[in-house]
Amino acid sequence: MDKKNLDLLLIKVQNGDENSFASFYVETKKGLFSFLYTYCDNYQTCEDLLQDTYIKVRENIDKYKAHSNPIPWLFQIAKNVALNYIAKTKRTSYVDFAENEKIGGSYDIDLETNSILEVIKTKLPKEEAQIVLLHLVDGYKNKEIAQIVGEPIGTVLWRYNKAIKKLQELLGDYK
Amino acid sequence: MNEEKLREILNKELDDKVPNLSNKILATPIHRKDSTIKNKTKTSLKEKIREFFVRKRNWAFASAAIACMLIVVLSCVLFIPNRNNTQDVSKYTCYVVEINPCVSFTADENGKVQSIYAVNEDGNVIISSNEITKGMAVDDCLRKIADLALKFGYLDSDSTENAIKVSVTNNDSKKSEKLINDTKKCIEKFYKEKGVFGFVVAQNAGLDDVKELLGYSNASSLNDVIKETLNKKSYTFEEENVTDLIKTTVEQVVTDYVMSYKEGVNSYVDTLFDIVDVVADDMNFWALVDERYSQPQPRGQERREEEQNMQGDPSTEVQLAIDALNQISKYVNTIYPIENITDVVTYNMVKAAYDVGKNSLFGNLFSELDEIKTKEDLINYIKDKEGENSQHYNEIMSKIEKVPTKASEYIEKAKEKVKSEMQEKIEQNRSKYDQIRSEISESDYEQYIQRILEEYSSLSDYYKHLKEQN
Repeated sequence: MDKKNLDLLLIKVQNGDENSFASFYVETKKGLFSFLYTYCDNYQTCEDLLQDTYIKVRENIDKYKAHSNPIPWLFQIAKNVALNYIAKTKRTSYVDFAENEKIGGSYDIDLETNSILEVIKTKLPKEEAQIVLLHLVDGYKNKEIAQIVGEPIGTVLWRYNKAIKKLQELLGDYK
Repeated sequence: MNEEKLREILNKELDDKVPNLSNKILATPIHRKDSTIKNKTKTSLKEKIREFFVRKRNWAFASAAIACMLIVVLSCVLFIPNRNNTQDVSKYTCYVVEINPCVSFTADENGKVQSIYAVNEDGNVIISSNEITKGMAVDDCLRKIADLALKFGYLDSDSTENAIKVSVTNNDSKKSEKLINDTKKCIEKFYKEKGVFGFVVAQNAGLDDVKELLGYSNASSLNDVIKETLNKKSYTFEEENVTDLIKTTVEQVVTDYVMSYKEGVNSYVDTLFDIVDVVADDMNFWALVDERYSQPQPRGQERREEEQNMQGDPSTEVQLAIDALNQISKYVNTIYPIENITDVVTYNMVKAAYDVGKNSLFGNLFSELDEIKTKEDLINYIKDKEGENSQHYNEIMSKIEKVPTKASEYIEKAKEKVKSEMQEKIEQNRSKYDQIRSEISESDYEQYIQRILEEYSSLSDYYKHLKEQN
């Protein structure tokens, strides 16, 4: 769904329309879940953060500026929720790429046990993983991704191209 | 694994993992907005203002588009390739632009384009748009080439690996330096304005470089190169090449025809083999039946005697074979019940007929067809074998008649091909090209170039790397 339709849904939610909220949830949950997963170590935590994000959306819906782009707004809430969680637990749960590279060369990726989401999270630096997921899951445009991650559009493109190449090398001919 | 596949698998995975809307979320009250009405009024006014400007801009765009079209049409009419070899070209400059469509153009001392031609097939697609015209400024020409490359998808706005290499050739080395700088600035400006992350490698090209790039092995000076480029046309089918083209096309038609003829004969031979095999299998069954009941087939016995009597008479054997072949073709054509050939004698007859047929008729036919190489060979062969009124003769004559015999026909065909390729590319990239992109700021662009230089020692090295990758 494009940003205009999401904006319309949020305007309706501002008027208390539960059905519009449910539609908004369905349209955005996958992208948001994968984005939050880059901050977590397991699916359970990610589910909790997803839940907290949408609760925050309901609580702060009056602050949403109608006719603007809801995507950066939503992801900013998600980012805040994730960062609060990290601050509370005092640890970063994603694997650092420098560490990862050392592990990377020594074993093959077993896709029977590792999902693609897992591969993206563990094999790419967090910044690249987020850009790749935003691109692939919800098909956000480079400009929107740049707003979400707070980086210039060139950096986003550069990182995406780099990350996709890495993934293609890692996953090879997996079908 | 490509991006599409990744997207598909990832989305499938997430479909299973992402939870549905929970009661806990729904239990949280929605903080409703009170100022909705006030806000709405404000927005609608804003919308009206925006609409007003958009409308105004639409008119401006429409007028600009009409003006551009007029310029293009007029320029196209006025564009005539320069064929004057006597002019002083020592101050001219030759540019070779590689994207991968590769095009080359020459400009006079005032920086006005004098000729342009395609170095490769993709270059033809760029030129076939007819948007580059004689007298155009070099900067405009470079921008146009880059813009068409973007429109046709040779440059990709979603990638950071866009590269344009421009080789500049001029007798005056100082002037060359300036032209290289101008080229670089012009293309970088294009990238920034269009919101495309790409880089440019502009360099001076000496005689040897340009000879290799354009394939001018006979050129002994830069002037020769420029003269040669001035005389080139976009569609490089010259009059003298047409004879070869016709010959090649006719040969192709003849070979295709002979091949399909052979294929037909071959499949006929295969069918005969199949029938013989089926009959042989059938014979085994009937042989068993015969043994079990000890009742030899009287008709079969008669034929066997007949056959014994006929042995040693080749003309009768051939006649027998021809009769049998006719019988086989009846089976082939009508799918006549195969059970009708059930006795050993018929089988032997069919087999013998088949062998005779294969050795004489088909065997010779194959070796005869191998001798057919030219249009005349084929026409004479079919005329001799089947006559001027036969279906095969008419078929081949009509095919050969359709082979173009004039240079203009070949050029027209080439143009049609390139135009349809161009249309296809425009359609494929329309949504990407039409998408409005933000300009790239100086600092973002600097950062991008810096990042390349951090990984590769120079832009040329990165260009080489990308070329090797492709």
